Amino acid sequence: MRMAFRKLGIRGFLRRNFDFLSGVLLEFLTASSLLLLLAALCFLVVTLSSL
Amino acid sequence: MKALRILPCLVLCLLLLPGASAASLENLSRNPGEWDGRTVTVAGEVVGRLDKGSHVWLNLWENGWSLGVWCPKGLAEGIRVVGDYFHVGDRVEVTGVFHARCGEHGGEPDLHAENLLVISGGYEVPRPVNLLLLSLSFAVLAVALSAALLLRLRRREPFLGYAPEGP
Amino acid sequence: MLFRLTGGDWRIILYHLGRMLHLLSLVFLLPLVPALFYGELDTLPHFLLTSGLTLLLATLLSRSCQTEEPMELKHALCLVALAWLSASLLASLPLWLGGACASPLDACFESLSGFTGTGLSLVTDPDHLARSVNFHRHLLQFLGDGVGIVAVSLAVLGRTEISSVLAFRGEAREEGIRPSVVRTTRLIFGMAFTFFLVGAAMFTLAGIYEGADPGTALFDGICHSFTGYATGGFSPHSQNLMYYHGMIYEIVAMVLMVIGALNFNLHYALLTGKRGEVFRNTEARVFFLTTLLLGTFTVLLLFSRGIYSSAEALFRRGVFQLVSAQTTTGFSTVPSLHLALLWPLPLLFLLSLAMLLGGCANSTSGGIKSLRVGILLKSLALELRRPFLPRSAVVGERFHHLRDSPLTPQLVRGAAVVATSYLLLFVAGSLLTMAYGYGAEQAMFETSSALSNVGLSCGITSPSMPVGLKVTYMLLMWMGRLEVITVLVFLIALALGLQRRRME
Repeated sequence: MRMAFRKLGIRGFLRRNFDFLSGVLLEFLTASSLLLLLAALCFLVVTLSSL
Repeated sequence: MKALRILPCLVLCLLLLPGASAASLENLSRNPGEWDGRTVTVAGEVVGRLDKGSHVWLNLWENGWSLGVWCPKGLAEGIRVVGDYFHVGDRVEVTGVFHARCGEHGGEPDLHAENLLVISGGYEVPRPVNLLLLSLSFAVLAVALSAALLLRLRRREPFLGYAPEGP
Repeated sequence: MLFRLTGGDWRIILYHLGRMLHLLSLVFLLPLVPALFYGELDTLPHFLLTSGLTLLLATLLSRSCQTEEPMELKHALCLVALAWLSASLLASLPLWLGGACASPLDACFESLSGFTGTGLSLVTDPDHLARSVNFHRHLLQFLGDGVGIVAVSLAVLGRTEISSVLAFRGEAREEGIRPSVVRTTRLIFGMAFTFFLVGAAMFTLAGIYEGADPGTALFDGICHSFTGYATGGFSPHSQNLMYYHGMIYEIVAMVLMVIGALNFNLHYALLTGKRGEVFRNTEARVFFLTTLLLGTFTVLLLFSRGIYSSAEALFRRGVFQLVSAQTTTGFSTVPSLHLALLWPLPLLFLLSLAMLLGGCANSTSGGIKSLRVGILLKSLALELRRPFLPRSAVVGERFHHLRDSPLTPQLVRGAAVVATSYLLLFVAGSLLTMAYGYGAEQAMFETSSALSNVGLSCGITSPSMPVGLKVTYMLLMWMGRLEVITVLVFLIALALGLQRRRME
């Protein structure tokens, strides 16, 4: 398995494009965090009203 | 004797039961509040089917109006053809409770099917190639390509070339 | 004289238009791939003919109007306005030949809605439409709005860097990411393609999870990724995202919509390691804050009026529609008529406001844009502070957009001009819609949707819409996409040119 990864050069690709790939992940996390806040808001409204 | 007493009661009960009202998909879309919570019977073409374990989602379409139907898998077994470019899908008649904002499905308008009947089976739609149009299109493309290539050759420029000059 | 274009000016404009149409003729061949893959051989002539006619027109223009004269700003603005119009007209041909639309006008409306990334649709039956034609519709949104086809064309084919710069500005892309606009445009295309690929994969997996067959999930995933990132809003199904009846699918859509609404420069900063930019950036903060604020009002209104009582319903209907409106995408999880019939009236106004505010500048979103809103709000705060300060005090305001910059009167004036022109068009469009007998709230909703290139509808937009209203919304979409000024410059130059000919 390790040999296969080495031959495909995945580690090298990941190392060379670390900034770009982690940036893409950060973008998705940023967008998701906004939605998470809005989802929490919905949950809060329903929970508080039932108290 | 007992049966003679029970029978009229049964008939009365059946008469008093709320019946399914016939409605169209357009009607349900234009007057959702009026039909909310009522048992309705609608007809439409199946244009989508999504399997969700014990149930399936059927997407019905008719004359530009559509609705999702939440249906037990057993009821949907008779559906063979789903509508697309090459097919007209099975036309079905579904009886069930209409929800303008279904609490079970995140506020979505839907119909919870209690009965489903395949009115007419779907069929294939032939899509023959218009040979005249095809010939015309090839001719136009050929003329256009020739003209473009000729122009480039006369100007001695590469085709779709990019030759930036400094500002 | 101001606005008066000479014959030589029109030569420059038409020459570069011809060069741009060369690339477009290739783009119209891309739907041949799904046509051959799905065996839709009867649609081959539609795209071949469109491509051929586009190439013929391109060759005619670049041959007859050939010029070495340099492009100036006035040429670039008119070129961009004319390019969007002519590209939409040509792109309507496969839609009309493929039977997607009932009339040539409807087909033009559809293709303009596609290119401008609006998403208002007059297609009568998308579920039975050929996949190649559906692919064409969605590709228009990705290339027109997601990438900015005009700037791309000139970057690829441009004779000089200057022509690309000017066309870039004309297409309402004000800032360059890199010093060279050609490199900037290539970078934009690279980012768009990356998000498209990731989005398509996520949509496909979500579609399979929601129960669709893999083939349908893949095709729909590609289409929804095209239009999700481009904040366009077209869908291959008449039910839009409700076809999938699934929260996971809707969450994927929302994530991609928010990403599409962020500034390209912010993308570049994040993708090159400048992680802190997302927190310091004024525009991103304004966008997030307005979305949170309007989202709160939406949720409270829907809950208090008893429209939705569960957190899931509030999130999947209320929050989704708000995010779709704010990012100017137009994906829908509520039927159009239900917005007008079941949702409370104040919410229609709130959604109209969200649509007008729009997403970030230099993104795929429309609207007035968060950066301008931020500038105007900071300017307002400054004016409110001024009376309380000593007369001799020198006050200034700063904002952070990739770097700290002072809030200059020119910046404020620029933001105010665009905001004012949007509002004037909004009022005019709303009044015109009301003149056709529609209610005020519906008119405002639909007008803001067209003007900000959103695509949400409360039921007005349909094939049976009056012809005058179709033309009105086409104008609004065109002007909204190019941020008004570009189109106004073109129309005034055209009108004055025609007037001079008549006098001669």
